[in-house]
Amino acid sequence: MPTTENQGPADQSAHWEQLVEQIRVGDPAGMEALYRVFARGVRFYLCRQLGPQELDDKVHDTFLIVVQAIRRGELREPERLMGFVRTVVRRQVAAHIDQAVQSRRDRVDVESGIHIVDSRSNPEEVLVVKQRAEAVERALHCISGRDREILTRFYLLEQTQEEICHDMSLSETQFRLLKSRAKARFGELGKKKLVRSALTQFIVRAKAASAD
Amino acid sequence: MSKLAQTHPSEEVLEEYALGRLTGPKLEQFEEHLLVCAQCQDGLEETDRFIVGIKQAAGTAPRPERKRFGRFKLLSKPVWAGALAAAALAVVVWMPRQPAAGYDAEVSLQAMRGAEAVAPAVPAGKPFLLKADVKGLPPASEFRLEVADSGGAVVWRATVSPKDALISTVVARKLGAGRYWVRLYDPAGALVREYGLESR
Ligand SMILES: [Zn+2]
Repeated sequence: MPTTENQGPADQSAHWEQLVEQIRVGDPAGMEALYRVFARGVRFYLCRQLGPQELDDKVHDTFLIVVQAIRRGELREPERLMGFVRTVVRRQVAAHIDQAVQSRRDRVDVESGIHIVDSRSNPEEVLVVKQRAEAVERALHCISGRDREILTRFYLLEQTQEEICHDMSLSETQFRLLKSRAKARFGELGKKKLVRSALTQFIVRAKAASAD
Repeated sequence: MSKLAQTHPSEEVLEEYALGRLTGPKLEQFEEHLLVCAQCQDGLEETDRFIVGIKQAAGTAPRPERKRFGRFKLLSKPVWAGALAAAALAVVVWMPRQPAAGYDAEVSLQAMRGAEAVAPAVPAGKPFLLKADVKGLPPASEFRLEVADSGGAVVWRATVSPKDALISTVVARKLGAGRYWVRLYDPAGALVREYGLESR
């Protein structure tokens, strides 16, 4: 099966219809093609919504639900396969959240009303997150006050473009330009600082090692 | 299939999605596209990272001048200190608007004890300051916060860094009246706490 990213609407609809038909009749090529979508796209979606725990199992379960539904003829509009996949994936996400909440309730410490979960993040991950936060923080200090204000208003305070343009007397075009410049500048600085902090760490480690 | 599902959405759409602002048919179309487009997955990942960076840095970054920020201000130390005391007592507090604060209420969340728990309330359609005590949780430099409606749809999300075992962030999303869930995830993505919240 070809990829679908660069196809036009008619091509894509035909692609999904053909794929559904292959799966319905048990053609392994159809199963493979669908699994490729799951291995990347559905995996990405589930990971973003639910985190990395037992991700392979979740992807596999969702794949089976979709395949079984197709084989039972439950997919009424084969050309809208991805709409159907999205619905199934969203249902799975909701079910996993409910399940997690339920199991958390079952294990709640009645005395304090507070539930404690073992941290699954290792110290290295925590360090990386901490360093990234520090680098971003330093980068934010380096950009101009106006750029910082735009970023803060838009991303942190969740003001709309209209509100920001009104308050800061900007046209829509100016806003877009300033925001994209600020973002690019912020990205560059963040990267530089990260490289520098990684370098510093490397040098410190190397010095410590040579001192041993 | 819709037209958007075949063309890459704009950077604005990616941002709207990452900020949890995309709704209705636009959300549907975008997610259908996202499932099959590696380029947009990468773009979204980058946007997520950028937004997380901004939010992480916000706690200590220099604040824009108050006068330019008519409606909002970022959190300052005394606010944190007061919130810490309130959360330690596990008391639900919501205060009427303070003129310069930029939010209309503040709410300190406590862990749910089961069906009998009473959810704290915030005024519908107004920004509010949300505080949650993370004492007792394994230390982490950031947590993911989500507000989901009664149907489970995530309507707001942010990544926040705790200070002195306290999370505090302005929820600028205007929540309609109803019951909501505030969920707290650790850096590994595991759900560690859930709180009920009433908007009315
Ligand atoms: Zn795309």
